Amino acid sequence: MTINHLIAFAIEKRWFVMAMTLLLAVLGIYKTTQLPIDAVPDITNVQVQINSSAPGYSPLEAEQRISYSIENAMAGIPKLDHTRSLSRYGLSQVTVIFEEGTDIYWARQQISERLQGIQGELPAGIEPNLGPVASGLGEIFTYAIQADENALTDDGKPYSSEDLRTIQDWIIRPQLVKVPGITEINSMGGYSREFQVAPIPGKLFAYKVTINDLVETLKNNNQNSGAGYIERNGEQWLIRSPGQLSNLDEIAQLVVTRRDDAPVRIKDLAEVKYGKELRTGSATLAGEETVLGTAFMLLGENSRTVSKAVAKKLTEINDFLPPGIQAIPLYDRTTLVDKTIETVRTNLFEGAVLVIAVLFVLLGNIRAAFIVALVIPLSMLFAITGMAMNRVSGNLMSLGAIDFGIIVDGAVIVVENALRRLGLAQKKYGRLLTLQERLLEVTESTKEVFSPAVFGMLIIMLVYLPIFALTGIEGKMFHPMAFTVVAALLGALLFSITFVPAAIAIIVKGKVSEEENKVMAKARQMYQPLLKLALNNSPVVFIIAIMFVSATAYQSTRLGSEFLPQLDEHDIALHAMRIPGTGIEQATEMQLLLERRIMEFPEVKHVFSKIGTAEIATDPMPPNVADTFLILKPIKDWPNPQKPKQQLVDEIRHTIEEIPGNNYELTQPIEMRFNELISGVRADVALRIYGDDLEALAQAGTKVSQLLSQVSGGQDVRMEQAKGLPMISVIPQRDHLALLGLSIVDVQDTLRAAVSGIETGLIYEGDRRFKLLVRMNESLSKDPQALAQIPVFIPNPSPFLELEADEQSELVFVPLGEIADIVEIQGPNQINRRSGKRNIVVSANVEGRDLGSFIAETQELMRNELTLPAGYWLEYGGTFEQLESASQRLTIVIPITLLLILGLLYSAFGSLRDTLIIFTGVPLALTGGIIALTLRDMPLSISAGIGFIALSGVAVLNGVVMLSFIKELRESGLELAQAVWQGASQRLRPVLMTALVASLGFVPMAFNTGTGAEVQRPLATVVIGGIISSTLLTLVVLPALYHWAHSCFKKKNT
Amino acid sequence: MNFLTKIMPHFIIILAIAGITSNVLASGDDQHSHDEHEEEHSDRTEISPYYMQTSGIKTAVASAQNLVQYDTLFGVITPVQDKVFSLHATFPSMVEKIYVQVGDTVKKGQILARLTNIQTLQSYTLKSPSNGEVTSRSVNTGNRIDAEEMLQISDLSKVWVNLSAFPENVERLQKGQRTKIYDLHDHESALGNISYIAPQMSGGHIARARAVIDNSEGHWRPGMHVKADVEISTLTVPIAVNVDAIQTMENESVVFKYHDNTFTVTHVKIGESDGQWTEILSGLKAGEEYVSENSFLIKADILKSGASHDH
Repeated sequence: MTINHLIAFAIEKRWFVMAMTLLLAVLGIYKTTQLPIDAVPDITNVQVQINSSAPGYSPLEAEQRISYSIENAMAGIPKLDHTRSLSRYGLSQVTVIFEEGTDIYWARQQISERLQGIQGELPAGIEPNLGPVASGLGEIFTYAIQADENALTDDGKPYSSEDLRTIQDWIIRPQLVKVPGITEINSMGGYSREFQVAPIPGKLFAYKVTINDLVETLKNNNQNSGAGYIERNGEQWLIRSPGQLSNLDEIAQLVVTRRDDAPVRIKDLAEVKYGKELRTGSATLAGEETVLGTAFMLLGENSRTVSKAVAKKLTEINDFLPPGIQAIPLYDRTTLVDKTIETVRTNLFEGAVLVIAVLFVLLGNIRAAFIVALVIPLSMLFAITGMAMNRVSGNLMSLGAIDFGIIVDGAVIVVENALRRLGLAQKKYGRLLTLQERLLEVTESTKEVFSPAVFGMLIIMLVYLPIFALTGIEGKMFHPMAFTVVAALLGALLFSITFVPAAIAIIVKGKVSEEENKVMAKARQMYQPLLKLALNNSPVVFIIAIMFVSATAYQSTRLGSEFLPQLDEHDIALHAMRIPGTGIEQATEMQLLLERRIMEFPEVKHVFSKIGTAEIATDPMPPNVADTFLILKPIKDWPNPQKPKQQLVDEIRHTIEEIPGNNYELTQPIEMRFNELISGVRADVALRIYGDDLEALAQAGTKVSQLLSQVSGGQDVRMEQAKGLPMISVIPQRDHLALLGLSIVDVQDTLRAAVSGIETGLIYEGDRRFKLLVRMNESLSKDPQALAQIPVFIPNPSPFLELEADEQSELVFVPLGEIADIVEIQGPNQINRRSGKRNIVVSANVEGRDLGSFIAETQELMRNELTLPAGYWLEYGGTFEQLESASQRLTIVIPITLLLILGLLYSAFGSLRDTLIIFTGVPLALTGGIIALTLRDMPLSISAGIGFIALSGVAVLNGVVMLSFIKELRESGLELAQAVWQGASQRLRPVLMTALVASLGFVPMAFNTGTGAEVQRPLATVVIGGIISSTLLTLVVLPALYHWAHSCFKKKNT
Repeated sequence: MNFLTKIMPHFIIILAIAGITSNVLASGDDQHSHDEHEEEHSDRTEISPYYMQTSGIKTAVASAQNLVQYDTLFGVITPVQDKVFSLHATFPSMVEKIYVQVGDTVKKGQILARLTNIQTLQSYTLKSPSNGEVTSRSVNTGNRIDAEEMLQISDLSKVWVNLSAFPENVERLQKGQRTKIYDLHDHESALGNISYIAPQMSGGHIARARAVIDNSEGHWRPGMHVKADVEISTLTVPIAVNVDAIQTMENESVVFKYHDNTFTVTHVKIGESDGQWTEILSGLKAGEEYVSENSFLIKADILKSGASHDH
């Protein structure tokens, strides 16, 4: 028999097995260094962002000219799931979402190819860029650049936010980007330096120079040129003609034209100065404007290693910054990961210690206890090897769900039986055993418990199977955990039947007492009368058990439910939201006030915010939204360390709600980022209306939301905001333009020159490069009245104009207000598209009825009541789709799992009855879990659900251990009653032991309060409670049930 | 997270492994965390004095104001037409002597040149017709002259400002309107009045308007380009508010009345504005206190329930 061979081999070649084990351990240690570690599982889908910055474009233009073209180009990419886009002022962002499992680099390659193809279709100057290769966990490090109050620039002026931004962009960023594992450093805040030439209209008339002349002059006088080389006396001399502008003065001195004998220089026509860009985002720190840098980690890297490297690099960089300038770290993922890992480590370590203690007490043999304990790190390393090889990240969910107690169950069974047999054998021979005898005993004992141990472990693994059927976010969340647990169990299983017997054979040489130690003896004393009672009054026992199960089943319906206990990241993130249309400077002011108020909380260490959109639009927020991060001090530094975090959050919420004009959404940094990236509609039902006209879409949306709220069960009906963005529309009057000999472009160029500026080139300062712009002073375009006064030049007056001689020599102009209507309108704030079409979403949640019928009723209602314009259509989406597919999968997978378990049990026992008897252990086990949850006032969550899964496995394992022994005794010829009695009493020790190690192993986890403990606590609570009940019931109810079932069977037979 | 609570029952189904009937457990409470409704925003809000002060919200009392509206026009300095004198020889003559150079200041009656009549050979003098400055001289000693201009004397103690008025401006222009003239460096300014508006448009579709300004300092040289603010209207209105007080809500103009820390949306009809004050035709009474600075914050506070973060 192969199994026997395997065991015999393990014991015979025990040193080889030890060596192999050592090798595996070394491999595991090596792989540990490669394991991607983060605090939580990464739930981001495979997506690529295509950002196109389009300065000056309104949402409509950005959509029409950029988003549309890019989206169209993306259609039909292989493995495409869908695209979505948003178009905002100055930005087009297309997000391409691929099917799960698509290689991100391949996907980016595809996109790049297609982008190249459409480059010609995009407006000049628009360059689409791919977002960083990062996931929702990518923002691992944030720092601010700060100047001392006394620090002065080279010019002897205090540092402005523009200077700080220049330091960030040109000194710090280039160095940090090189840190391995970093894919992007995103700058935010301050102003990018610009060289601004601000024409003064009156002077342009005076010298008869148009803005266009100015632009051309700047374009044509800012170039270096190379002209090859000459050979002179055998030497090669390169020819070069430098003509670049390098500073404000050179720009000012540039000659535009000649009037009479004098050159007309730029300074005669315009003000030349450092300008402030029309920024789309700003950053603040503790109530002051600042410059922030955020490091993005490359997808799949180890966030702890990378953020540590960034922190180290930043310290180095600080030494080279100008005096008085410092880059200070604000957010460092290391802190959270370290704390989380620390929690996991503490739990695991304390759990392991408890397990060893229990084993020692119950086995009375420190060496044996040590062997079992060794299985813990070994299977851990085994699991980590598997994780590292499959790029499964180590995090709170994956590492935190491992219960060492359950892992060592198999080993415990093997060791316990070996010790028992060794003890018996020693007693029989009355001396220590010879090596051969010892090996034989160990081999035999291992064979004896092989099937309960292996089947038990396999069953525990099997119950995790349905988790793999989950897809989407849920899948991403739990697959790593299921993978890790299964890997660890597999490792433990492997070690239990190879390493453990081999180690016993090698190490357990001394006297093994067959006598039970006092603890076991005492336990047995208490157990036996109980067992007797149960066997004699089995119907009563059954009734009590059934009542017990029913009562707790009822109780379970009264438990609250939540999906997953939220990982406490210790820090707080809040969205501060203002009404759409709030300007960036106004929003910054409001944010400063908010931050100053938050800083008054002594628990807050840093508060910093990102307002609007950064240079690289990884998170395209409009200026009216600010991501505010509150980094809290370590709890021990709080004035009142006992204060619960929730209380602090409530206090902060309460305080900031008084600040006028802001609305808030409180969350946590990582959580926030995930929500931003996933960004799908997280409602049960989402109706998407596709169409062309925004106004018609909005109307249809309103109609749909009215209808939807009529359907019973429909809750929280919401229509996506299509709210207005204030817009000043300058509509040229074509007739008037034609009469004057002007074209629309003249008007638009003038408007651009007045407000956003016309880019004419770059100014180089070493490596640094800054934009050179022609833009009028802000005072000339501050309101519609001022805009109306802006002069539009008429360079080539139309012959319709009968100009008099003196007028012809003059430069002719006309104010903008004469030739264009300036109207204030409400335009779209943002235009959303999905899969290549404009759409608007109406979403609803469903309560008090099942989704299927709700959808059916809604569809019926929409068919009858809703009339959409031609070319508009409706699509149903939302999580109900996922829910349906998940249910479908689960309805297939769960029965299969059940069948598999049954099959395993059946193959072990060859009896359906026994199999079913073992199954009864499960409900009994679950009762304890539910009671424990109730006692600790915890809701039913996925964590708890995972606990129940583990529990079912343990309960089955217990039953298997008990029943297989009873069965063996019966086969050896014992009477039924006798066999039950003996089996139950003899199996007391392993059952108690597996139960105790499994539950005690989780005790630290159940009571830990460290970071991340809240995710594990329900799991541990359920397992502890469940195992207590299951053990008691396995020991009492199971023998009685077995006895009853088999005596009935006998009667029938006779 | 709603989906997540929805999927809970399925996890509980896993417990069916245990044989617990799933219908007992599968009734996990669905708790929808978001019960926010799109509320109709109210029309008032309260802000504590502390936040009023820290966020720079200021109030003022609506009162009568003088509204002065300006139009900005561009123009060119020219000499006053009847203050430019061309001097010619009375007879065909030879130039004996010219006493002045371009740029010399001359007085009325000053002898400028001595000429000889070529027919009578009599010598005679040419006197300055006016105080002023020699702005051109086209002859030298020994030249023979007939009818051409010899000298030009300009009196630039007053100059004209020729302004270009576009059709929209012309409607508002009237003779006598006060006008402030600036040079393009904003160094000097002078006051004048609109004295003439051309009755017909030029070929460039512009009407010329003119103001006369004093130039005794000599700063305003003819040919110089200038900018002019014309006071197109001055009126006293019984109720006016700071222009920053006006906000738009649902396409209507509003101001925020302030009373006892409470700000109330007040729909108003607005009249004229001069860039600093805006006339209120109805909706606000004189003497009522309104938000004069940072009124956006009040609007934001009232509408904030609608502020959200859509991706």
